[in-house]
Amino acid sequence: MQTVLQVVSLSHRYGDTLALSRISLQLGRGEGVALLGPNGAGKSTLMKAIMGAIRPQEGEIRLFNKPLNKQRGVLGYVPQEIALQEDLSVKENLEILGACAGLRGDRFRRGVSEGIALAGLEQRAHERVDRLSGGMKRRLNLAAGLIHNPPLLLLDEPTAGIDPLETSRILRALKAWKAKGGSFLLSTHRMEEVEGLCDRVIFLHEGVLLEEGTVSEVLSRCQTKAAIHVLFSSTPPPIPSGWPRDLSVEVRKDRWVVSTSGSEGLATVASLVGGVQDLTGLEPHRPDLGVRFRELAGTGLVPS
Amino acid sequence: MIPFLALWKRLALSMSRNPLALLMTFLVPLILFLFFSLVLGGSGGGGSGGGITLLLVGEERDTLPLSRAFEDLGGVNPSLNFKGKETEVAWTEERARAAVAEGDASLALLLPPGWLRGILSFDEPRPEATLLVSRPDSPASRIAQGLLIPAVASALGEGGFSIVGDALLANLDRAVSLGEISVEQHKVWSSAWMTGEAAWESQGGEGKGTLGLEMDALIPLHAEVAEVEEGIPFSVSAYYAGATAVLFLLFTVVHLGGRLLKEEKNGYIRRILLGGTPVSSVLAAHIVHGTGLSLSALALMFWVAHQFLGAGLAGQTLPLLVVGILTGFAFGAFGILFAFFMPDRETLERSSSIVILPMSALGGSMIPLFMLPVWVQNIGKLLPNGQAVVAFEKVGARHMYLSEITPQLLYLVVFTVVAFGCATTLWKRRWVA
Repeated sequence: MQTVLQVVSLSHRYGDTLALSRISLQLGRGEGVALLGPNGAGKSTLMKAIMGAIRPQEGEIRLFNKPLNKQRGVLGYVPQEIALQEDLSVKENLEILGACAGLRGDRFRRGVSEGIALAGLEQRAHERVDRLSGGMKRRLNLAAGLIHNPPLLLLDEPTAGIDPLETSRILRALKAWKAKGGSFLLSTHRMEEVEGLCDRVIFLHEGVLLEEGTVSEVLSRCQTKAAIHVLFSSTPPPIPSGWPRDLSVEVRKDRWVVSTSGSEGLATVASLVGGVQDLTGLEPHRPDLGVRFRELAGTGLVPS
Repeated sequence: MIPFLALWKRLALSMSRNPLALLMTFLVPLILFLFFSLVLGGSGGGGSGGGITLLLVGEERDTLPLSRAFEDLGGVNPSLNFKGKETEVAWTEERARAAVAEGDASLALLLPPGWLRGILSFDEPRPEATLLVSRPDSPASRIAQGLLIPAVASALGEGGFSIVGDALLANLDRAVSLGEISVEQHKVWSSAWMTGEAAWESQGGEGKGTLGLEMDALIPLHAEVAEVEEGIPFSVSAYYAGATAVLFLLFTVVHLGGRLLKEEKNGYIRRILLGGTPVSSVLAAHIVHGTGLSLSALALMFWVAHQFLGAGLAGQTLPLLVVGILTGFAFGAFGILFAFFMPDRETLERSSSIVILPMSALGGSMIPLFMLPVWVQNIGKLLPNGQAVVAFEKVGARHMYLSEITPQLLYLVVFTVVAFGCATTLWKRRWVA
């Protein structure tokens, strides 16, 4: 796989604050990587360094095996805010950004029409942006970042503030673009978005890369196991005497936490708790990226 | 379309769709300009505020009555603002010449020693007074000369009027006997004297020297056109067209700088830069847009001043255009430099009034610079808006040529180059590692 982006041992400080500490990562063609972490983790600093907005004190960034400052038009950017001219139409916005990205002639016309199609705004191409819904603006924001068909797209919370339906439209569009060979680096703390979209995830915390791998690799390292929560309306009763020994149970304030997973486990637990008093329901829980991140950041699992 | 044009187009389109911005850039300044022009200056008249300011210089004890006579005439004729011996300023010939040249006075009467006494000595060479005028054909000049005869007559004391009249008639008789004038002319002029129209008819003065036979015969006086140093006439409406536009243009360019901060924050600028557009194009588009707005606003103001307020700017199109373009560039550069030092758009909007209003006061946008104390003028001339106002004053209000405002033009060019250079360097450092 052709390497699009290489970040080698990148470190950066803001005064006394360490923003990035020896971060290394690689991104191949057609690959999507998620940068996960809370506010202040270093995601924005890393993105800024890749965009050439800051010069890190240590380390190197290469795009297509060339130094960053020798590159033009290789990166696309979808910022968290709606970076569009609100009083201009959909088409005018794309035309201006296309011209700024150096598109001319057929490439320009194709870029604009494909951008409108990607945003799904064919019927509203001449409408002012400030009259579009939040979801439409987000889609246009994405299309604007892709107007010059960059090999690498940087996305910063591209679905912030929109409903699940619009979120899935944006993720689908991104997935389709990725299938055509586009690469992206997605900075987010909405970890649920990542699983079906990204090939790999990178956990950052306080400027340190905590963990990197595919979604399944990361989840497999999770120490929290799948469980079924048995919920009660009052203080949980004691465990019934006939409870199977191989099915461990932890009694909490308002529930039992039974360590098992899947539909088979759910059926087993359901049959075991059928007659128990004050039972209100069963909740299957499986470890996700958020759980894994909390483990890494909060329980001393941070690599030295 | 090249990136620079695309960026300029977006600003222009955006502006054209923003009614509030259009209002603040064009309509509000126009209203304020009309207010200043109409309230402070009438419909375009002279620098002395619409009335006639007459200075009397060199009056001695024996001619003090003339001063009093003018004072009395001033009481009868409110348009006469007489400044004689008993004023706070000690008027010398030099000061009087400067005052007329700079438009602070309509005319000055310079009296040599023994002038009043000499009026009655028709047979001897008589000392000649000088009437210093800014324009020989101005109404002020005509009125002042018309007032001179009754003033002299009154100053000569009891019977002075008839003495002067008798002398004039004797002169006319002599001229008829010598064949210098016809009997018909004698009748016309003597009748004119009797009806008080003599002075009105005695306008021969086309510049230096002559005021015509009748005036010369009666009162030893010659008219002289003062060397105009500071552009006369002075048009108040043209002054406030430039000054008001400059004030509001400062707000416009600073607001444009605020847009830069907003676009920096929301990632628009980053998006443009990643597409390959250089920082200088982003900033140049802002400056050119600012210049376009400046020219449009100025064109509107000066057109109104010319068309409806009698500013007489038909011949000044080129100088006004040049000053307008340079002002636009200078202000555009100022706007983006100012924005750099502001943390965000909100702070910039809040700070703009605190910075711009004092700048405008010092720069002559509210009260003309030449009416302010010298130390304020000196500060004002350090500011780009002060220089722009002076340039507009000279080419717009005083109808001067471009060659006469070279210092202001040079200042605006140098300011633009330095401010744009600094702004580009600073923004580039911030945006591109």
